[in-house]
Amino acid sequence: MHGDRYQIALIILGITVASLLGFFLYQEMFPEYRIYQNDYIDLEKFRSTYTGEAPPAFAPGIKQIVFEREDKGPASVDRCISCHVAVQIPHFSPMKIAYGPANEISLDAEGFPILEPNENYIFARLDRQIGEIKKDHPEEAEALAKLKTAKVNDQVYDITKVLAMHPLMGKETYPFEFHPLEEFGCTSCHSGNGKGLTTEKAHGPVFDGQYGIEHRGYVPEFIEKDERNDPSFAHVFNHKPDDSLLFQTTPILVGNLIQSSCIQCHSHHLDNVNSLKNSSSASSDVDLFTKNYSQGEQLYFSQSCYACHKIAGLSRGGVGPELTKAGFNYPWYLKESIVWPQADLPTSTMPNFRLDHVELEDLMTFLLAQKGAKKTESEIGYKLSVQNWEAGRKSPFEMAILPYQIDDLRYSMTIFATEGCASCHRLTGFISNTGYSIEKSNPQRPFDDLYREKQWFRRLFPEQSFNEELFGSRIVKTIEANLTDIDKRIVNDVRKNSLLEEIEAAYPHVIDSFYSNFRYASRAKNEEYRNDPKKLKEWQDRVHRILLVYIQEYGLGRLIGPRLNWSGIYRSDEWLMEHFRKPSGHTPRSIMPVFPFDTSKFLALTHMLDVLGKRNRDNLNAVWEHLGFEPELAYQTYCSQCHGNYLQGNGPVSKWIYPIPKNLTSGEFLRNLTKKNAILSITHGVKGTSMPPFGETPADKETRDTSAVLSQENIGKLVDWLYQSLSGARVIKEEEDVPKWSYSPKDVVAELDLEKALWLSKSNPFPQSVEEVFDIVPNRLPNGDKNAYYIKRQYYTPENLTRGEQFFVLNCAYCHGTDADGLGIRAGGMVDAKPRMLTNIDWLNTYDDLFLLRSIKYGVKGTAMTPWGDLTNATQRLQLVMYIRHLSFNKERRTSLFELLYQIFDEAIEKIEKLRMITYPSLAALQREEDSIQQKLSNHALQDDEALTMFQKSLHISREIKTLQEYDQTLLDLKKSLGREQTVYSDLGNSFIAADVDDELWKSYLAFVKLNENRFQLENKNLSINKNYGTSQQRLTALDQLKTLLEAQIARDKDLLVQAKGKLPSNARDDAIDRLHSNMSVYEKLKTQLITEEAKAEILRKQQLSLLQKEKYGTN
Amino acid sequence: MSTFQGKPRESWGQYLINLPSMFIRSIFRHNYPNNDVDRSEIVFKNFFLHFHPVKCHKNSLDPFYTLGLGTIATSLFLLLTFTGIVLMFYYIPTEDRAYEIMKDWQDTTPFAMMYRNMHRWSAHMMVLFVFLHMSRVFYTGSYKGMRKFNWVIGVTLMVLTLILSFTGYLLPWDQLAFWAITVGTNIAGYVPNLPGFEYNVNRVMLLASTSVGQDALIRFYVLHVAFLPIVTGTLIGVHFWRVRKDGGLSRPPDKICPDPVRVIQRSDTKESFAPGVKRTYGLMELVRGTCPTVDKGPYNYVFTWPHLLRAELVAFLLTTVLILGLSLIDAPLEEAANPTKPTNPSKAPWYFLGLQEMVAYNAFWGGVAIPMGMVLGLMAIPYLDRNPHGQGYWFHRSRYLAIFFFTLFMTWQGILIIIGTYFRGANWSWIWPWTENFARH
Repeated sequence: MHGDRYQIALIILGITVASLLGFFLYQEMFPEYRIYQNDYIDLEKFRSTYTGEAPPAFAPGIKQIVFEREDKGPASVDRCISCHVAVQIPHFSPMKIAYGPANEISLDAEGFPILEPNENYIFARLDRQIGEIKKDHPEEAEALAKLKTAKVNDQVYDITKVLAMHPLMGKETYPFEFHPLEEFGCTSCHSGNGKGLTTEKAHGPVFDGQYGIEHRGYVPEFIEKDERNDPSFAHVFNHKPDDSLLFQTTPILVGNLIQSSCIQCHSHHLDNVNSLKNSSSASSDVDLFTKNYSQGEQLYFSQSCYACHKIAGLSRGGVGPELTKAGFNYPWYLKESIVWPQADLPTSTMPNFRLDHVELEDLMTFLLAQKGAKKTESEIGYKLSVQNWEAGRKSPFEMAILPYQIDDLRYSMTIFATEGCASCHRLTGFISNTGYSIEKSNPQRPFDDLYREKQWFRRLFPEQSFNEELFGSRIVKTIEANLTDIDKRIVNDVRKNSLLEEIEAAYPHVIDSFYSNFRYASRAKNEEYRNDPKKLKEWQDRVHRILLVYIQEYGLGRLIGPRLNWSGIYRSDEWLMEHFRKPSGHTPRSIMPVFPFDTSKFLALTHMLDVLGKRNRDNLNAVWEHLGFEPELAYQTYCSQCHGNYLQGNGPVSKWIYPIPKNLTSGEFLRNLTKKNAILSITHGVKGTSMPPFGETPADKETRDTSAVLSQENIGKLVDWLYQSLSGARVIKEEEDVPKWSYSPKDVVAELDLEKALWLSKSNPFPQSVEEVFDIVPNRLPNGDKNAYYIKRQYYTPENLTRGEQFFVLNCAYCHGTDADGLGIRAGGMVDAKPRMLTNIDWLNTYDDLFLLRSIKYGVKGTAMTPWGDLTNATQRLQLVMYIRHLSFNKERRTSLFELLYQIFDEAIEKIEKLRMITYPSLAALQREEDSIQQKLSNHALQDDEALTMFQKSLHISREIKTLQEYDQTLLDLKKSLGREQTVYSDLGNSFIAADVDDELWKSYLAFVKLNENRFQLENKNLSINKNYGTSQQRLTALDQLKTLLEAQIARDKDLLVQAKGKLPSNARDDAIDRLHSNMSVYEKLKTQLITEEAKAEILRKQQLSLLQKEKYGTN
Repeated sequence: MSTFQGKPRESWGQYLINLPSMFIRSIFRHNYPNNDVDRSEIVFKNFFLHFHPVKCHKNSLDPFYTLGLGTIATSLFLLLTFTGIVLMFYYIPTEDRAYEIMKDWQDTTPFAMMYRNMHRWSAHMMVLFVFLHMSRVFYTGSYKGMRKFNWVIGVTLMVLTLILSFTGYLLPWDQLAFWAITVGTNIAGYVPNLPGFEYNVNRVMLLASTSVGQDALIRFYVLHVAFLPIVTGTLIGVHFWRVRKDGGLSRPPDKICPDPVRVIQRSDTKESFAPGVKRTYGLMELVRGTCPTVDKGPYNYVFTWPHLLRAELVAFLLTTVLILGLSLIDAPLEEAANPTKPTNPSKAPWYFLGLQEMVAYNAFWGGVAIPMGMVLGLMAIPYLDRNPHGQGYWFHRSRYLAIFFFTLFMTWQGILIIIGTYFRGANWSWIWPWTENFARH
């Protein structure tokens, strides 16, 4: 019995083992490639039935191309031809070379062979045969039809693709004419795994949906899907396959991505000149074949990738990961990183640019080509060129622009559109030839008419719906519904030579790339009008027209960063320039990268913003004049980009700005703010945040223009409207009613008096009056109070600061972060308002200490800042405020130094730039004339005497050119010298800051630097040294004073050292001695540095003086 | 009465007739085992079977007592040796070829993938079954009495199994292997360094270098194919030999006819009791008489052939079926090792994920102190457990505390491994298995 059971078990197990082994044997015996090879053999047999030729000899089995390596390393093996047997056989190609009458190859205009349908194409013959015998011999027909597909593991493959001749590339007359298969193999261009013998292993994951997807869970959707019309690229490389695809392998490159392989050996003409401009005329065969690559390169610039990412030899960005060897990444990783940058790194600050599939394909082609040195380049050559680049070889976009271009609005607007600004910012003011038909028919049309047209357009195509960019599908529906209306009202050729058309011609597809929704709409009819190219063209043209009007209405660019429409009005030039040079300077945590532009380009952009700002303001004012001020419309125009369509603080821009925009539906917040403060915030903005001062006009504009974006009256109306929607809006409390605002300095002193046990300072334990606690200064802050109160510096004692720090770390750091940067543990969860970054200098400087005390004591309603009045006493609050202020001392000093240096040097540089601007046009004109004369001279048909006069003229002109050039060079040298001097003072100042010098020393340093102010003055094309400019005597006194102060410091430390040495030996004593020693050496070094640097500056100044004299000489 | 006078000289004819059977007898020195004598002889005259007893206790054959776990582990070791030797014919342990050769043979060499899959799955299963076997031995209290030291050898074998598996992990030289080994050896690097050495000497000893590279590859290779298998094979032999010498597998004392106990006299003049002689092939002659034990062996013992061998064969075939079945799932071969592109997370092989999880909390305690404590603690179990009862019983009631602690320990390790495998994502942060679990590159 027992034995029987074992017997049965043994038999069953034996059979199982045998059958499993049998299964493995089966797998070995029928490999996938044999299916294709058998098909091939059958096809050749079929062919012999109609040609009469015997089928060619073919030995089934693994076919491979082996490349031995020179270093005897493992050979690389391509086994692709085991399945793709027919890559070189002409009758497997649907097309063939056309031959002319004399049996010569017929070529087209560009020298490429003309292709014509191949009458010998085997699958065409097969189809014909099947059609013929279908009726009489259906079984045979079916057998033949089976030759066209192969089923492998649930996948059906198209044999016409597996067994196809490799298409002819360029001027090839037979496959692999220029790239012999034996030399290049397959994987050197197509990637993939040449050793693999099954589709999965060889091709790798290419098409989505064929494999399990690795990442599960939430995946945001970035562009709308339209299965019917999306380009084929939409279906590939979206997902990384999961473990179900073993033998992970480099996927083969499909579609246009393969161009990234061409680039490994061939060079594109763009690579050589490194220019941003994509001239539409391709200059070589390679250019023709790598169109997508060059589009990708252009996108790399126009989408501002280059500002954040580094590619050795091309772009220097340092914010994002380096992309020099991006080509070694898997395509799905590149694609994902572009459409969802936070997928891998949740803290990434790269915004999602919502690129369309078309752009993605191009950009990926470009990125996949980035593999370091090219195959044709030597390692050393590549290294050298990269080293040159690292040493400072400038790319075209980094160079200074020509002086007259600073004022050229067309030029700067083109920069805005094509060199990355528009990738994040939206700006109105771009005009195209397309417009409303009434503009065309009636140039003198009344404002009303045009406004009505605009209203109609805005109603059909609103900028956003639900805080999202307008959906592509909605655009399609709207167009379908209003087809005739649109065609009637929006027409081409309203104007001539408009900028948008110019940009489109010079930089094709750049403008489209910002609007993936319009791209979606543009291809929405591809399938429907597949057979009607005319209608399709019409549709695409219609969408394009609407896009152009859309840009004119709402602006060019994406809504990722704030709109720049009025930046030129409410931001000072100094603000704009600093924002360009150091974006996080005035707006902390700005994600804007530093663009590698020259100062002159920044000046041009500033100028552009100034001019367009005025234009935009005037346009809007015209509307307000016409309509009367409509707060709701005004809110949509000015505020909704950040505060959102529904006032919830979640507009399209809000994602990337810090601090997050306020939720204006929060009654608690608004009540606490009071109308007065709301008006102040709108008028003067909130410094250190993205809230701009809508009611201000800065003083440093070239032409003083006092009208602000929003008038006081309008701001009042806007605020009224804002408060209207509040529940119980009628009983809005005024400032007096909120205890927070009636908390006065007197109360502080009274509280301190109550807390007599807690001393703020030993020297003055019981302050009795406000003056003893606060420095009272006349208020220059926008809040309208008469005085501003600052805690006296004498209270900033180490004890108070330590106590403040202790309290802060214990209680405040939880939200505000240990570094007071607003990044505490709880900060992440807060929705309506994030904790303040307390080291944000601009913001901190807008408030006096009293305000901070109030906020601590009473909290900030509508945010997570609760009242701390019951949990703190007045002493602690004062200590806290002192600690917070103390944190930013260095930063404050840096900012003030920067501002001072900007005033002194950058403005001088600007003056010189202006001077250049005056003379440069004549120089350019002369050069043009010279060129034309040279051209004429080279024309041999000239008469002798004619040639002579011309030659004389040319001589004269070239002499003039030389003088002018010298003059220009002098100015350039002067500029450079000034730049160097600026660095000297900035370095010195930074050393002072690093040494943590006391206030007196710092102030005298600033005064010392300030002596250089207003050195140059510009009067009627004449640059001269200002008479009131600090004399060398003053300079010496100031220098001496600084030296004395430093020496005093050293002397004091010396005294302290003697004292310390007298103490009993202990650790504290040793520490103190060490500290004093290091202090002394720091001051000693500072002194030497001061002397040597000042000497350097003096030399530079002398140089400037001599240059200035030379300049005078030049003009005379 | 005729007496045996020697074998008569056979004629050429007779010789030729007898030649085949003689030839067979010269190889197999016994007849087909259809009687008790031959059943005995086949075991003790056959080299390959001789580590079995001639007769074994019925209890050892009870599939629900041993669950066949030890046999399965041994079968896996045999399978591993066989497939491993096959794989050695192809493999080249160099940095630039190891991966290439794997890629190359996967499609072109007959049965290459089958062998590789079998080898991989056997290795994983061996780790698993060694753990299970250890648990079985613990729960049945089989480490008690004179089997104490065999338990220690068993624990050593478990450690060897882990190291064998770990050294084999590197050989494919793909990303998975490379980073798993990097992580694994980093854990080894948490052992305090000897003073005066610049790099952690433990890690350097393991890798033959400061990082995973060619030196590590050849070291791991030699360990994997030569040194460790020899040590393990020898120790397995010792393990079995001791099982034999300790009277077969543990079992509860027979109620009807308990094992004889003899009195032995030691030199220290103290009398002690030791197991009696249980050799069953000592009395091979027939005895005339009516004694009740005539014609009977020891109570409850059956012949190894066919009973035990048959059971072993079933276990072996079951294992083979399991492994062949699993081999339908291909072993992974990710992209080639790339030291500049760490995977995130980098995970050690699954059996070390418990360690890695602990390392995530504290490198020294999780990576060194606790694992060392675990191994030493396991080895010390027989010497700490003073409860004499429960040998041969699953979950004996008197051992509830020991069983509780052991179960707690195993569950804890199991949970850590599950957490490490399924609940840890990029940067070793907590994730859910159904959400994204790998940072992709």
